[in-house]
Amino acid sequence: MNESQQFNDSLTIDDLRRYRAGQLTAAEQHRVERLLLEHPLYADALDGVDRAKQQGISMDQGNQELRLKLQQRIGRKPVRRLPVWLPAAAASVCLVIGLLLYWQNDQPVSTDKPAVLRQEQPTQEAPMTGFPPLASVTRKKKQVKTRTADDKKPNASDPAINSRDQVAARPIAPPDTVLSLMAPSDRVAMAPQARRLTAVRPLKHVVGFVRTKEGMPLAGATIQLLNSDRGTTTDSTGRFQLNEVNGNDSLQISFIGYNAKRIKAEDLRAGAVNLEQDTQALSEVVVIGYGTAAKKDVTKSVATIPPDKPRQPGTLVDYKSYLDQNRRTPSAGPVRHGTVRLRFHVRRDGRPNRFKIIRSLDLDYDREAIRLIQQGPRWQPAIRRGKPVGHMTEYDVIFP
Amino acid sequence: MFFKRFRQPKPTTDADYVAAYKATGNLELLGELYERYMDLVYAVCLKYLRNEEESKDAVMQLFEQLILDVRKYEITHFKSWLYATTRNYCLMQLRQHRAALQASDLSSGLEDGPAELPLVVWPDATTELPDLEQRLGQLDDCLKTLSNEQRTSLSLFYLDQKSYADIVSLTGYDPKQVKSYIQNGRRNLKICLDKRHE
Repeated sequence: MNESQQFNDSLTIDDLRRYRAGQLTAAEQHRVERLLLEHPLYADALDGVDRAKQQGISMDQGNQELRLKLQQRIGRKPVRRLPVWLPAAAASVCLVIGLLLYWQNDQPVSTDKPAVLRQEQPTQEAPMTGFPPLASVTRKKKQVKTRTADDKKPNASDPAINSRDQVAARPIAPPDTVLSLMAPSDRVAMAPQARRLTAVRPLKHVVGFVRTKEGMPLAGATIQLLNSDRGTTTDSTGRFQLNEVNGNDSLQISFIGYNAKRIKAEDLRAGAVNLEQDTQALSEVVVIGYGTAAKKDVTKSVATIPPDKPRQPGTLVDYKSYLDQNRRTPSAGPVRHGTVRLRFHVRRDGRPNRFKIIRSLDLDYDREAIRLIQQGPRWQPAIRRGKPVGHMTEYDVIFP
Repeated sequence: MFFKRFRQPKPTTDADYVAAYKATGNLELLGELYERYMDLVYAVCLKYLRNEEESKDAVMQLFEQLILDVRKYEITHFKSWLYATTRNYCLMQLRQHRAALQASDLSSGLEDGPAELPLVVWPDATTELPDLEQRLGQLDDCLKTLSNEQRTSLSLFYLDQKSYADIVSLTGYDPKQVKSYIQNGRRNLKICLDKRHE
């Protein structure tokens, strides 16, 4: 079957609806009927159209909603609808403007008096114009003075200029050296536009898309702005957005079970970030049950039982399996089975100390029981009035 | 314009899309392809599931399934394959429903549900067509074996390109019957031809 035939041999939902509504010509009707016979897809779809009508379901609305969902699922689709030349033209315009600005601000540094004069104009208009325009050719200084007077600037700047005038105006320096004498901060203030171009460019916000190598979006991946406490996570479609990021800031993108990736915010604009699966990193996941996490750091819902006494780290099952895995049967002496009951103090930081044997099994077994608890993970200290406090507790170590 | 160079060649046929998606894994390509059929898939889901929200979920769920399956399987006819996948998905969905319902309430009778239908992969329309010319000679013989109504309906439909409505007005048959004449005639004709061919 060649392409044109294939194209002829397809029906749309509109064809089916118009067929049902009797809006087709005889030839079109025949085509629809023929295809209905050949493709059960169409036959079933027609049944579906009937069903929707029976139940009063609006298919248009459904289809629209589905299209939207699909585009969300794919990501970035609406952007692609723009004609290609549009972003390209925008980029060209930006480039041209950028070049113009650069050229304008670059000129006074390298050229002579007239350019300097022209450059001082924005200085007078800028909000920071209180500072004196420094030593310069006396002739020019007068111009500046008259202009400040015209602009009705606060008089405070005038004495400054005058005093400077007397002190510094005598040696007539060529404009090049004048500029090089200026403090760097002054120079930046003189040309605010230049600062924006040459120094760090603040981006409004960055948007990215995190997915696996296979192209599946990763929901809940962590994006951290390095050297800051800011960060975010991806939504269910793998997209994220960070506000007020500089182009040369680094982002660290991580997800459990995947290799973390560092990327510059600038490079992000190229598109999606792919994470590769890390088989080794999966072992990290196991440990977390023993640690304690501040409630504010835990995003899942956590049932908090206010403990009036210290509790074992992790769940009871976790701790039992820790004991099972690490228990050593003492080699010396007869083999014993039974329970060692210990009473000990759990410090504010969760470390157990001050052990007492309540029920003893054997000297070596008692020692082993203490070792197990002492060297094991930290306990959860008792909480009183929201603060961890030291407290006594008891625990049975079983030697099966 | 030199900007044109940035534009990638767009796939046009379903097969092109499938091949391009397999090569790149680009979801947008698969999305564009799926969008062509999404309305139809939604209608099919409506037919089987009879529920608006469930059908919408099914359509999105099917797309997720496509993301994986299109890369996994060799697909020659996307349309037929998509139909089989959709239908099977809906039937599985109904079966699960029924199992859940039966577990909770054994007494409720649900015999009328379409979940009785078997899971099928439909034969491609194209596989029926090759070496048609060889069989054309046998066609006349086979046509004679059909019942009168079936033969008339079929020849009017296929040879004279009449629509159902036309056939009804030409022959005076019952409108509902015409469709079944054609469907059954088609099937009988195929059986007959297959027999002769062997």
